[in-house]
Amino acid sequence: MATMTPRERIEAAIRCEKPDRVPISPILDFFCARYKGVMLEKFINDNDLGRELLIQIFDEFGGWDATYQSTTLNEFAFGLTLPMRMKVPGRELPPDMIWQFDEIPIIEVEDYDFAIAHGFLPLWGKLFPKMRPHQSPAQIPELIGAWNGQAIKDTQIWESRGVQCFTGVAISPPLDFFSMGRSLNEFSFDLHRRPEKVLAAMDAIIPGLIEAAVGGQKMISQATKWGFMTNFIGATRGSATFISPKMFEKFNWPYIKQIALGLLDAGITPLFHFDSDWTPLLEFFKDLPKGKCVLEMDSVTDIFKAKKVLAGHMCLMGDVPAALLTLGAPDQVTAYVKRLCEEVGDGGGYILSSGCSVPIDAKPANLRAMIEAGKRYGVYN
Amino acid sequence: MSDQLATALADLEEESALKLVQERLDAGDDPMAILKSCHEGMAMVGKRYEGSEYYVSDLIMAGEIFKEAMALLGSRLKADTSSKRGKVVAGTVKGDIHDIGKDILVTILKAANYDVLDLGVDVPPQKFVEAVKESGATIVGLSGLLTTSFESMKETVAAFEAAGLRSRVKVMVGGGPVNEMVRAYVSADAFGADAQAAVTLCNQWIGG
Repeated sequence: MATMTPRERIEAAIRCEKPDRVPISPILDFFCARYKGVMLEKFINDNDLGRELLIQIFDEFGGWDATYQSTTLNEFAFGLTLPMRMKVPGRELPPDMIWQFDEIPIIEVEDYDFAIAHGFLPLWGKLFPKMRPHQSPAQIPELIGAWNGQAIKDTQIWESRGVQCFTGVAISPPLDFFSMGRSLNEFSFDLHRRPEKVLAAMDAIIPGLIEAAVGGQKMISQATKWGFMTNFIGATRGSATFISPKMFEKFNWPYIKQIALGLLDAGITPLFHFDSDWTPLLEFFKDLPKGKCVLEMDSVTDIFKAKKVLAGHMCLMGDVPAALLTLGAPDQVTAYVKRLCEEVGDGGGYILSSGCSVPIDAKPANLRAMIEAGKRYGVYN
Repeated sequence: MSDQLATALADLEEESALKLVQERLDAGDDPMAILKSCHEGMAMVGKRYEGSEYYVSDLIMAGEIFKEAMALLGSRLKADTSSKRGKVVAGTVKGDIHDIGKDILVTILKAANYDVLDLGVDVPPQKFVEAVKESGATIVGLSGLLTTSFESMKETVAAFEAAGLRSRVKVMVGGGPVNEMVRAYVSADAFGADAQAAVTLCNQWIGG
């Protein structure tokens, strides 16, 4: 029987303690549109509709402990985190096709010097016209103002229903920022051809990155009851799928650590939304304060190994695989969630979620099986 | 005597590797012998990758040095197609425009001495079939990052069946969410977790 509120449950898990049950918070975005028969073109440009569909699905599937985002994904907000050009449905893509990043270099070699001289926000402003050629930099304050207003509204609506928004403000570590902006190839060359320049540019943007996150979090906390429970830190390129542990130690970890400590100083919980393979890098995370951060994995990292390395030290989150939700049967999903609850959930410090987003073409019965199995097998004695 | 060029390439020493290529060319060395050294260097890179000493960014750098070396050898190698290990058709399947995984695959396969026909991204099933018909390739690499690419992969394999070519090609699939479950669903012959795994698969198929 439930003896904790959903918020208490998640807070206990983040502290690496044992709640009454494993908390649940799946990531839902494009799935909502496809499941409800809404074209993606319409869906990504209508935040009220996105939030409304999310609420309907939350209710239809029996609810969970925190909504991952307050609305589904908004193209402008999503594109803010990474200096990349996006192809979106209805603009560059057919009206019902999922949006995709276009891997073209937005950041030039010379921009490292610009970053070193001017820091994060001026660099972002300089890159804006290349990221979003259909919009003018003069529109930036208006676009950000509109998005902030939407985020506050969505969060207030969820809160009026007693539901916590798990995360909202998003940043990427400098390595992911530059790798995405330069393109994987060019950035891989940079790591070998001009490593000192890359490091100096990373040093130069890190204060601005942290300030941007803290500023966003304050904005939402001041306007809502609970604010966002965590700050999203998204990374892929800095994983062992792409770089060696030796490079990670030099080019990525010092900055991830600075971001985490900077957020913690401001009273904000860092959520490492780390896709791809971080398995060989898990030991590094022991370097961060105990019971203060969340490491969220997409099923490429071995979450069972993560439990062995980080049990009692860092809250783990994930990782029902996308392929299982799309191709598997409900009993396979149930069996996997049972294993997650028993092994990763052992002793507490675990939040059940999808491995990255629930895919657009996931079987609804699989999402249902995931939620129900979490509620059944996640109960602690 | 150890091959300096192969070692420089394997160590990702871009400047010295390219300098060695130029010096050997200037000294009148046979371009095929220089190419052989580059292949040896790339094979060492592959071994280091398999031994977890190198990672993808190192493979990309090695592929770039290899490309630059080939550019220096230029037209002197044009006549050579007979020494290739085999022909591979590769592309990102219909509905998916992600190219980085596919590009790494193409670079690494070329560096491993395969003749690779790169069909690009968002490739419809029929285009894969036509490419195999025209080129006589015996291996097909299908890439995809989105779960929606699973259907396209399945359709592509089915298109090879329909064209009566399925038994003549080996199909490998790869990309972010692709695993054994996906391989079985799309009826491919194998899945590769990364570009180096794809080279290993091709070597097994061509050798066997």
